[in-house]
Parts: sequence; structure tokens; C-alpha cells
Amino acid sequence: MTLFKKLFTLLLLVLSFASSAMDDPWKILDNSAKASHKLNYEGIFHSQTSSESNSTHIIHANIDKKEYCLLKMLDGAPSEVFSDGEMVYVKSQNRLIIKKRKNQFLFPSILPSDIDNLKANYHLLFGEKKRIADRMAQLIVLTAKDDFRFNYHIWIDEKNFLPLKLIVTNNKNQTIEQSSFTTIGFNKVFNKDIFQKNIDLSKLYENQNKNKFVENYVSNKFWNLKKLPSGFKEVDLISRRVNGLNILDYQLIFSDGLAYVSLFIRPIARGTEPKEGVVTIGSTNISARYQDGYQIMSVGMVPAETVSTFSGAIEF
Amino acid sequence: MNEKISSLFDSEINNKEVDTLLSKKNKMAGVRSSMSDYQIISDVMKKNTVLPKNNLTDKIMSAIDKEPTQMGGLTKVNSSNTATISFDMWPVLASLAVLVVIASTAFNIEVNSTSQSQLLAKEDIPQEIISAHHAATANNMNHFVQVGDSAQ
Repeated sequence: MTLFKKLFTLLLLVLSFASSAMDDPWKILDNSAKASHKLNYEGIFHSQTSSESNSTHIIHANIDKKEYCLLKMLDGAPSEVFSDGEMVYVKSQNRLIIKKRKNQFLFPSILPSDIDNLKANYHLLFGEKKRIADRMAQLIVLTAKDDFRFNYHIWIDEKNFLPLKLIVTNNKNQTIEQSSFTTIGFNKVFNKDIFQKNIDLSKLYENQNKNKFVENYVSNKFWNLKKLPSGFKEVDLISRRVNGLNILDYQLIFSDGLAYVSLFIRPIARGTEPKEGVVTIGSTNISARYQDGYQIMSVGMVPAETVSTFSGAIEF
Repeated sequence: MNEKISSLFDSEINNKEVDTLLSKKNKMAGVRSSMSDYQIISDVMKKNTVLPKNNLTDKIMSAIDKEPTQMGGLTKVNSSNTATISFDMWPVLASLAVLVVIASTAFNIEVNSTSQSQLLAKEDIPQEIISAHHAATANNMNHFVQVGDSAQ
């Protein structure tokens, strides 16, 4: 084979790879997930659910490969949320609450780092381009392949892939929840100090004994799970002490990458009547079932059928 | 002292120490009280007697309430608050394990699978469940802040 033929073959291979990467429509979600963690940005977004709406000021920065985020509520009582990528601190009315979250998916960080699971459970469609917060954005619609999850409409910044707007709709195309930037700016340089100036981390040790929401991550499981809805995987397991009682309950968290369901296993104290059934509060469905001394409840912004399947899946 | 009392009821103490312990029992009210508790624990383990629930349960509850609640990953290693356990503590730890068993019994956790269930209503859903779900999963910050408010 001549040198020319070798170079020509190599060129064809490179073009083939480049073409397949550009043709993969899911690539835009992968870029979008990375953008929400890597970019520096500051802006205001508006969130609305069936019961309330609020505006939030956000500053996000990636400093020395570590993610920092400060969110300040602009409506209602003054509150701030600060995250250093590992822990989340909620400051509200001079009180400091510590929360652990294994994944940071407060808007706009809504997409999972691994999008393969989304491919199995959602159809991806490209919608029209639209101006959001004075920036051009591409609409991506993820429609559920079954009845166990809702549909997600995401407007992604045309230049840097950051999600600028999210609308969650049910199977009747009714809006369940939405968040959208109204103003946003990029490429500012932030100092670490601005994220911590209002939160005195030295007070954490004083507060932790008073914190009723203290959580411990556990590994002992005395339950089994029967068949779960397609694509949902356990992403977290938390135990916490029940208020007023020195007993533990358990919260298992499942996700398909976009939708989340919590499955609670709570021992029932004497005199408490167990509950069974399904109710809807706002955009959240709750299913309850009783088995062998435990009240089982599944909670999620998912269809009622999904929470019922989860609460019915557990056995001892 | 508690370790020696525990050893006495576990038959792990020599004659000289028995004499010393019994002598102190007559002089010190605290030792008498501790011996009474350890006697009850010993009897429960050997199934010799019925537990006088109220008195001991109150003490167990009080002791548990005084225990600090620790959050995983935040407690500083080697800090003054960090407890170290030596092998000499095993008799005391064994007694503590019995206390935990008795405490769980005292709460009367119901395990009767034949209980009649009631139909779920909105009012039946504990707020902490909704808050805990949103705290771990919501992408709306407002839900997240409300968790802090409900912890007050």
C-alpha cells in the first residue's frame, strides 16, 4: 500500500468518527451536563410549581477543579444555599442546616453525568430554537417511553450548552414544574471567599447535636426489592432517627437519571394505625403500604403508578 | 466502678474485689443504685425475673437523650470529643448492648402483620417525609430551603 493510500484511509477513518459524533443527538445532553458543572456563571432564574413560585440568584464557579455554588432566594424569607460540591449548607433565618447530597442537581445542574440510562427510557427530539434570557437556546424534548415517568423539555444554550430552561410535563402535556433563567452572564472570575462570606462553617460543630435531620449512611438491608420500573436504580440509602423516638427509619432513593423516587421504610409504634393508598400533593404522588410492622411510603414527582409500583416492590 | 459491678454479675470478679464492692455498696448510694440496675440486667439475661419497666426505662431514655448525635464525616478524628475504647470496657459494652435491647422493647415496636390498615389521606403524610424526599432529590431550591425551616 502506498503512502498516499494509507493517508487516505486514515482520513476516511477520522472523518467517519467525526461524523458519527456529530450525528449522535444525545451528545448535546452530555455536553450540557458537563457545562453545568464546569462553567462560571451568575444570573437569576424563576421556578414555578403547581403551588408556588420564586426567584433565585445564583453564582456558580469552578475554581481549581472544585465546584462552588451559592443560591440566594429573592422571594419570601431570606435564605441561602451554599455548596462546595460535597456538602450543602442551608442558611435560613440565622440557622445553619447541613445537608448531604450525593448528587448536586439543583437547577441548572439537572442532567446526569452518564446519559446512557436516559437513552433506554426516553425518546430524544430536537425542537425549535428560542431566545431565553437574551441567549439563543436549542429545545431538547425527552419523552418517556413508558408510563412510569414524566417528560422533560430542556432549552440548552446554543454556544456553551448550559441548560437555561426546564419544563416537566405529565402524560397529558400539563406542566408539573418549570425553571427558567431571566438573566445570566458568563465567564466572570470569582473568588472562593464570596461563597463562604455569609456562612460561618465553624458553627457546624455546635449545631450538629441539635440537628434533627442528622443522617447516617447505612449498609445493612433487611429487605428485598421485587421488580422495579425500568431504568430506576438505587442511588442512595439514608437512615435517620425518627423525631421523638429513638428508632431509625430508612430512605432509599431511586433514579432513572431525571426522575427521582424515595422509598421510606418506617417502623410503626404501638397505637399508630397503618395507612394504605395513593394521594397527590401538588406535583408529588405518595403511595403507602403496610407490611410486617413497617409503614412503607414511596414519594416522587412521577406518575401515581410509579410510586405504587415502588411501595409494592418491597418485601421482608 | 460500673465495670466491677458488671463483672460481679457476670461472675468475673475475685473474692477480694467482691468484699471491697459489697463494702462500698453499704456506704455509697450511687453504688447501691448501680448494683440494682445491673442485678436487673443480669436477671433479664438469665430470664429470672420480670423487668420493672418504668424505672429502668426512664433511666435508659435519659441516658440515650444525653448521648451526642454525631454526623458521619464531620466529627474530627482525634478531637477531644472522640471516644476511644479499650478491651477493659467490654463488660460495660456488653451491659450497654442489653440496655439497647431493653430500650427497643420499651418502645413496643409493633410487628403484628394482622393490623387493620386505614385508607391514606393527605393529613396522614408526615411533613418530614416530603421534606426528606425534596432534600435529597429536588432540583427546585425552594423545596430545599423548606427542609431547613421544618427542622426548627
